[in-house]
Formats: sequence, structure tokens, C-alpha cells
Amino acid sequence: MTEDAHHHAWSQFVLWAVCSTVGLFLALLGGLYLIDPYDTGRSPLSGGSNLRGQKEVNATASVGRNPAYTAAVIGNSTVALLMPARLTELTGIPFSQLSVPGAQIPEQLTVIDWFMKHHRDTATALVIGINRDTWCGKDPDKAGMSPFPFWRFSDSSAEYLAGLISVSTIEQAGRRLGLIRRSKTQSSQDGYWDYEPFYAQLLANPPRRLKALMKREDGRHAHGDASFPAVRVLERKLTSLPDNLSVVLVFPPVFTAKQPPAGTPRYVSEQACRQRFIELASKRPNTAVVDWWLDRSELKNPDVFIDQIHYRHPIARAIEDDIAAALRRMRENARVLSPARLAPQDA
Amino acid sequence: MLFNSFAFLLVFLPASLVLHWLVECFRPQWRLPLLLVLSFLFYGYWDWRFAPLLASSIVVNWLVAQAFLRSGQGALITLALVSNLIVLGIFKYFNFFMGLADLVPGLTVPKWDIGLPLGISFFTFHHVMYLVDLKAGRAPRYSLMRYALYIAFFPQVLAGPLVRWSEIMHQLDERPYDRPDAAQRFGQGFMLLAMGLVKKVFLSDPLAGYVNPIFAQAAAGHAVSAAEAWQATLGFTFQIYFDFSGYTDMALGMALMLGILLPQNFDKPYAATSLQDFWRRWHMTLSRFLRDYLYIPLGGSRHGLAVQMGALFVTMALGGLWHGAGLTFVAWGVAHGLGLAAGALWRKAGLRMPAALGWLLTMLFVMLAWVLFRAPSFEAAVRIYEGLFGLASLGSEFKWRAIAIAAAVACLGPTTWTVMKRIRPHPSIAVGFAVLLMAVLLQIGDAANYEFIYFQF
Repeated sequence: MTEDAHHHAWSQFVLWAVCSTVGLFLALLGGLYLIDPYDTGRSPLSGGSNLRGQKEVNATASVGRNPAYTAAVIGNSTVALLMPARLTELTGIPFSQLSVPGAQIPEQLTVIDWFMKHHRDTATALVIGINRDTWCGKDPDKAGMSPFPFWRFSDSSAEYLAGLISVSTIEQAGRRLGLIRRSKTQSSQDGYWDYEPFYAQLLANPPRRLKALMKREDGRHAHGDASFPAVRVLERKLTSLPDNLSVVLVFPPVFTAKQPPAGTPRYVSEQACRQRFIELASKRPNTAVVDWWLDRSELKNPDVFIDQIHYRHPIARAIEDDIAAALRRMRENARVLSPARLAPQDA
Repeated sequence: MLFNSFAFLLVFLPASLVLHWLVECFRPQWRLPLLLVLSFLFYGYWDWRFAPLLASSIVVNWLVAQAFLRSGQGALITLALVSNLIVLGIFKYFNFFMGLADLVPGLTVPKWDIGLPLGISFFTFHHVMYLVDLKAGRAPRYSLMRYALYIAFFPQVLAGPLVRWSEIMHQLDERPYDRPDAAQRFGQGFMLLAMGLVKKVFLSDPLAGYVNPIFAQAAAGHAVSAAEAWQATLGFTFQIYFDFSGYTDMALGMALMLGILLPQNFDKPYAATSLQDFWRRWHMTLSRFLRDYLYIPLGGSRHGLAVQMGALFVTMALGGLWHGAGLTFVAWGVAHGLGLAAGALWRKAGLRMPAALGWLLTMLFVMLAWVLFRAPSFEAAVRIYEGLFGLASLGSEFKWRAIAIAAAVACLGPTTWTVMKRIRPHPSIAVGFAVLLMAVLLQIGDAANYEFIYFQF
């Protein structure tokens, strides 16, 4: 090879390398943007919310933007078993289920923002799970250990585009296009999925389950920050919501063994935290508390819990009844105070 | 920012290359200032508070060099060297030495928890190389701009390679894109960058998942089974190689794309047939630094066996301490010092060893020593050694696939430098590397991105 030919060959190589890198990258990014694998509605090809190919934990963006649902359950797995269809049946309000397993406070606030962004004038109710281990903690800004896709809900296009570049997004795009087999468990249209099958292994091993279930909380350790900074965070969030939006703060139950013994530092701390959230709810109009924080006779039955914080269907149905009752009461009050704001179905 | 991050690969590097190309074509006199600005942006992105430290370190050392050139006072250089080591000591070793002092009964010592400026071990050694050579009359005067770039050039500032001033300074005055081999260098740099990323993302990082939990288990005082101990030890042996050599490939590749040829740092270290051979192949630029600026000044091999043994021992112990402020690192260095001394005695005695046996013993020694390097404490190292030597349960699960692939590539495969040199320019190969880069980007988007191990040093 002559020197000129050598030089030419390398010049061509560089040209091909640069052009194909840039071209492939733009094609990849553009393709993923258009496919909109998680149905965030950003693509010009996106229509209405469509769950096609969504795995259950990935459905939040799609369900959260669906205009058909004007109310949502927000939280982590401790409120995931609440059935939106039943809440809809009991209240007449079309509910969706937007809880994300393992979600801490930043994740839950992100989901609230996403739902409100897409239901600016139509949102009617939010049910927010106030899980004690999450909301009484010392650092409300700390995200959970489970990776949460903040990018999917981001207002920043750059963050969203960067988030698209991953193997899992490619797989999701394949599922969306029907090129990859869908996962067996999928959310229903309202975002609900039953977590009990995921615990099948634990449920099939009663001794192991019972051992974990019966481990008694000794109550020695109080929550980290007695000022409960998450209360202030939630207060700011609630203040930013429309006054006529009904909000139900649900305190999810725990198995009796997880209740700290009365008088212990943990007990005192938990009660103080609970009281702060009750006070917070009392300060805002259209806000109610569904309080399953304290021990009850039905929470002593090991058959209604999978582990200490994950209850089973009978408890979920009872909580749904309480939520529906709270919403009905709020509506009654609203009807008395402001007849002009009645929803069409109430008129 | 990490080389294996989107911020670097999608924003900083492309912007740097485009700006560098534009400046080189239209305002070549701006090339060095641009590279310096980019280097400080890169360094400050991690923690802007440390950028003034790097800047002042450069300015003060350069001023001392100027004062020495004017006055000829060697004490100035000695003072500068001591000052550099004191600064390194304060940031990196203060708590370590205070911890040692704390062992003295009745002595109360302060603790100072301060962040470690990234790359301080590397840029301190760059200062040392220049100042020592300046005093010896081997190095000339350089402008502040050139000296600053020698110290802070972004592909090398955080984790090397440790570049001699004589290897890089003349290149700063070149017009890299006017060279007849400019396209070849750029293309080869592109390939090195891609291969370095592949090593880091597809070979090293998956091994971290096999290694970290077991060392954490050992650090927590839990027993480690034989299977777990071997998995962690073998895993770390190849993880650190692909992590550091991958980083070096990226650094060399980027520098080459910017028209600077940096020295190689690895030459198939796990093919070494003796410990001496290993250190000629592993972190080669550190090895030659230790040889030229520590081992030889301490007496080297020309002043009798006792001096040689002592020099080897001290050099490697300090080399170990350079890697980290902990006694486990010192023990790692001491182990290598003793191993090298034993090898030197073996050779002096005129004994021979079959290459295969030499390789096996070297690998075993290096692997066992890595346990000291990786373990956060001696107790954790002992837990691992107990597992390795069968003093714990056998265990059942051994994740061997990723280790086997990594071992095959490390021990049998050619170096990336050799691969890069062998590749003939063809459009299909260029496209292939572009596809490889896309795969890396997709993997980076999904996986936990581990920092480079050598960043902590």
C-alpha cells in the first residue's frame, strides 16, 4: 500500500467511524423516542394511553397520563393491593393504581406530579399511602434502593432522552412493537396488579413466613428525626394541589408483631409521627385520614399478612371501604359548603 | 466525571473533539489553552472545590522551577518535593498516620475528615518527575501553559498513565492533524477508546457484582466459604485488570484522538512468568517511576545484595502505601517486595524455573496478594484466606462463567494495543466499532456504573 493509499484508507476509516457512530446514535435515539417504549405520550406517534407490552412495574407513566382516570392511589407496595376498580365502584370516581414497589418519598412525589401534570383540571382525588417506615424517616430527599426511572417522568427532554439509552428500554421497545414476548403478569388498564403471586414461594413455606412474621419489634429505636421532615415535604406538596382535589392519607396497617410495645421510644416516636400527619390533614380542606396505624384484632391474624408490612386481600378490601367512606364524607361536606363545585355524577 | 458516563461520552468528549478540531484547523494557537480549559472543566466537574488546589499546585511548582532556573539553588527543588509530599500526606495520609499514632497509649490525636482530591497521587508524581529531572539538568524550562497541561491533561489527570515530561512536551507543539498519520492516529484512538469501554463495561463491572458482596460479607465478620472466597479472589484479580487497563486504553485512545501519544501501561501482566516480569507488565509507568525515582536512588542493584534487598523492600512498601492510606496496602506492597527479593535471590543463585511453573506461582502469588489490596481490613482478608485455604465450609455456588471469559481474555488474548495495531483500516471495521460503542452506551444506561478502582488512589 502506498503512503497516499494508506492515508486515504485511514481517512475513510475515520469518516466511517465518526459518521456511523453519530448516525447509529441518532437512529437509536430517534427510533426509541418515536416508539415511546414506556408510553409516556412524548412521541408524535403516541396516541392516548395504551398499555401494550408494558410490564406491571413499568405501567405507571402510561396509566398516570390516562385521562380516563381522574383519581389515583400513590405510594409503595403497602398500598399496591388496593383495587382501583373497586374504589371506582364504591365511589363513582374512576381510580387508577400508581403505587410503585419500593418507592420512597421522592419517587412518590414524582408520581403525584406526573398524575397532576396530565390531569391539571380533571383530577378529583388522590389516595396517598403514608407508610410509617417511609414517611417517618429522617431523610425525605433520599430515593429508595430500588432503581426508579425518574427520567421517564422528567420535564427535562435531555434527561428523558438520556434515560432512553439502555438495554432495558430496547427490550421494552421490542415488547411494545410485539417483537419480544410479553411478560406473563401485566397490569390491568387501571394499573392494578396483584402482588400475591410474587410471594408464592414465601406463601408456600409457612414456617419461614411465620418466623419472619412473628419477629417482634422491640421498640428500642425511635425514628431518626423527631421533627419528621417528611411532614413538611408533604405539606408543601398538598399546598400546591388544587383545593377542590380530595386527598385521603391512608396509614397502611402492619402485622401486630411489628407494632412497638407501648411506651417504648419507637412507640412514642411513631405516635408523634402519626399525630403530625393527622394534624396536617386537618389543616387542608378536602383531606381525610384513613387510619390503620394502630393494632386491631384483625391485624393479629397471620393469615391476612404475607409479611409484616404486606397485607392480603381481606385487609385491602376493608381499607378500600374506609377510603370510599372518607371520600363520600368529603363529598357530602363539599356539597354542603359549595354546591357549585359538584361533580356531574353528584348533581 | 467518569469516562464511562453519559455526561462524558455524549457531551464532554464529543464537544472536546469538535472544539479541538475547529481550533486546530482555524486557530491553532488556541489549541493548548483550549486543552487546558477542557482539562480544568473535566477536573472541576467532579468537585469544583479541588480545581483551585490543582491550579495552585501547578502554579507553585512552576514558580519554584523558574526560581531554581534563575538561582540554581537545589534546595528550592528539595523544598518543593517535600511540600508536594506534605500536601499529598495531608489529604491522603493524615488520618492514616493519626490512626497509627492513636495506637500509642495515652496519646490523643485529631482526625480530619477531608475529601481526597482526585488524581492527587498521580499529579504529585508528575511534579516529582519534572522537578527531579530539572534539578539533575535533564529537563528544560517550559512555559506555564505547557507545564499546566503536562500536569492536568484530562485523559491522564485522574489515574495516569504516569507520563514523563519528555514523552509529552514535544507533542504539545505539534500540529497533530497536519501529520501524515493523523487519520491513522485518530482512528486507532477511536478503537482504543471503544475497546477500553468494552473492557470496563462488559468485563470488569459484571465481575464487581461477584466480588463486592463477598468482601462486604468478610468485612462484616461473616465466614466466607471456599467457593465464595475463590470467586471473590479470582473475580477481583480480573476485575482490577480490566478496570485499570480499560481506563488506560480509554485515556490513551482519547489522547491519541487529541493528537497526543501517551505511554502504554499494561502488557499482558497475567502472562508473566515471574514477579519481576509481572511488574514489567503491570502499571508499567508506575513501575518505571518507582524504579527511576525511588529504587535506584535508594541504591538499586549495584551496591550489593543487602542494599538491593532493602531498596526493593522499601520501594514496594512505599508503592503499596501510595495505592491507599491503609496498612493492608502496605502489607500488599511488602508482600510484593518480599516476593521480588526472593526472585532476585533465586536468580542470583543461578536457579531456573520452567515457564509454566513460574506462571502458575506468579499468578497464585499475585492473586493471593490482591486479597490484601481489596480487603478493607486484615480481619476481612483473613476471612477470605480462610475460605481460600479450606478453613471454612466448601460452599456450593461458584459463578465461573464471567470469570472464565475474563481469564481467557486476560491470559490468552492479545493486548488492546496489539489488536489496535493489527487492524487494517476498512469501513466495515469502523462500523463494527460504532456498533460496539452503541452496545456500550446501552449497557451503561442499564447497569450500575462502578467508579474506576484506581480513582481512589
